[in-house]
Amino acid sequence: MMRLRYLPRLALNVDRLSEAVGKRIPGGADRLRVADVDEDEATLAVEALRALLARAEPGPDDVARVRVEGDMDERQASIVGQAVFGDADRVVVERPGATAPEDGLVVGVRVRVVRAASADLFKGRGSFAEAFLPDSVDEDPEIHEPAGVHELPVSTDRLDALTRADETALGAVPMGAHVPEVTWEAGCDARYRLLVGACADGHTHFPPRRVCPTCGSEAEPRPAPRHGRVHTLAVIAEGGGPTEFDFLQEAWGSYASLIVEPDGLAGTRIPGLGADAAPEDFGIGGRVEAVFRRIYATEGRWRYGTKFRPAPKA
Amino acid sequence: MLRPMSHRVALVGAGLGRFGVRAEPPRDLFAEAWHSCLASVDGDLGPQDVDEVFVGNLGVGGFQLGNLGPFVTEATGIHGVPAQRVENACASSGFALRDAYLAIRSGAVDVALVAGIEKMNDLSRAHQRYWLGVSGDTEWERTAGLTFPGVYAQMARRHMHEYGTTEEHLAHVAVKNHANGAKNPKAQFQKEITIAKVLGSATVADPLKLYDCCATTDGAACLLLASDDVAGRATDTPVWVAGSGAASDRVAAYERPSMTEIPATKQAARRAADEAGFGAADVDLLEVHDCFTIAEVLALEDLGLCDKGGGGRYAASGATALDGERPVNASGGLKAKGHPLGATGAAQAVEVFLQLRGQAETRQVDDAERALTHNVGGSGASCAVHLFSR
Repeated sequence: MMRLRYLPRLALNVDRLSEAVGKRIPGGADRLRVADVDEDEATLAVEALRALLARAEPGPDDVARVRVEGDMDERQASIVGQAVFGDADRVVVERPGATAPEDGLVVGVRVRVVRAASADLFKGRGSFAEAFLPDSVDEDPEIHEPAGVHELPVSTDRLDALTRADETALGAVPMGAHVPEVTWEAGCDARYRLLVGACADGHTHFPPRRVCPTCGSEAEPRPAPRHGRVHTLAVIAEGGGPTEFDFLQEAWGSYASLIVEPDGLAGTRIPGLGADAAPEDFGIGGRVEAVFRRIYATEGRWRYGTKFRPAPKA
Repeated sequence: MLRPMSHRVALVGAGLGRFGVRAEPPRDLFAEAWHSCLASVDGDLGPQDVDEVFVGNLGVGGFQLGNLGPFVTEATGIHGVPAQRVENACASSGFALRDAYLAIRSGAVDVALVAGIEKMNDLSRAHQRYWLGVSGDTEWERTAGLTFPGVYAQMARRHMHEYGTTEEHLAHVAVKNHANGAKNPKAQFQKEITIAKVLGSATVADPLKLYDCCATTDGAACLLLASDDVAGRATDTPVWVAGSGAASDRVAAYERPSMTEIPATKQAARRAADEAGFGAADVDLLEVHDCFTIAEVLALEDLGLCDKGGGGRYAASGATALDGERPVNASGGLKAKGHPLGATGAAQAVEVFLQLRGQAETRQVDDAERALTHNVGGSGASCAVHLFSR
């Protein structure tokens, strides 16, 4: 997996992305524009893009058409395309003026962050997209920090410092005490899309495995419902959790760690941090919904995944 | 089920060093425990008789991850025999005991040294917490902000929800174990505490507070096991290992069918009882794995000492006190005696050795003839249960 820190700045146009999700685009391209943002938002943007596109489930014939514009060179454009599709062979670098592609799922390398319209725009497309939704519509094409993805009341500088925190607080990281990058990447699909393993007998489990732990038959991954109920939780106070999450206590004093049972999948449980609410706002039986969030920083970058926030009353 | 025994297995020596925050390096801690063990041997069995060494240990903070078996054996005068580290997180020395038991009962080995050791207080607090957080599901539980206080807190919260267990029920476990620890000169904590002190202590992972959680402890424990052929050379009053049972389960607590029980405990206990011909309900004392107060409550249920869901009320009833009908953790348990991760399983057997030979001083359980030890790895990924009889 390419280190996104080497990319130039990106922005994410959530409105345009939403139209691309789940659709092939025969006979035309839906181009997304890149503009300058800091490298951390680049990480965010590509992670978001990957997640959205994964939900679109690109087929074997889909190609990432990376349109090079402005200050991004071909190598960088190719990196973005690979980051999105994970497959260099499926990336085609185009120059401005090239003909729009005939069909296939198209991803332009230029992506811009804008304030999106209300939640209704994303209805049915999953709450992942809502992670980028602030409350108001904003026509200004300038970049805005996507609301809610890192919801901490701390400065950007402090957040940047956290990506280097494990190098200073712990010195050399002892072997085996963290999740290596390769292992983390392998789990991203399950994390972003809330994939459970499902077997033909109807058992489900999380995270998805190739063999059903209940009956031993073959299991396939599929997305779990993004709403569910809290099965149990713990509110973690000082010293009660891993060092890499101390920053949550710095910000808020304590945080909630939930075990969630997705709707309709009784007995299958998914762990995740609580989001967008005080720990005391979560309780056993409470309804929650999955949201895309930063999880923690390690080895120089942020890792993303799913947290759960209280669901609005139906 | 294991094949019928070729040999019976006897515990003929046992000892441990003082548990707590120790300045000594691991070799010295080990030597201390070894000398205590040798001193407990009545006859002339000694280091020259040991055929094989099994040492339970998580990792001594990374200091000597490799070759820990030979490393500690250097402190013993035992030379040249096979020595290995056995690891199953906090159940490491329970499984080391099992390994030695299997080796002896099969006839392959006559005398084995079983030990456990852990040293972590020489690490920074951040490093300790790092090491304490690698025995759960690192990829999924840890990244949801959990180490073991959090996982056990989730189990406790669910148990409270399903069965009405209260924080006060849990506090009774801590109070009892500290009262017992006050009678144990080797315990890390030797002062009695009150319910109010437990309930008033700082939250670590709600609903678990400081006094619901065992501390970070350094320490070592050593056991000498011998086959019935040679046990007589060591002592006329061996403690027989009547049965050994062990099991494993999902590493992540949330992946188990229920978060209010530890299935590995049930399986291990059943297997040990099948071998021994008696079980948890038949013993005079139990040393169970109370890494957190809720863990003792779950153990009471999982070992069948009370109904499912009744563990909190049973723990508060006085039945498990030193003078109760079923003394649990006469040693002070992990809570008061301390929990050097790799040493706990062996230390539980040390207590049983003393109790069944009438050598437990002011914490002696009257007429102790049979005992059980219960050693859990993590939140229930592994469990070893042993049954002992005079």
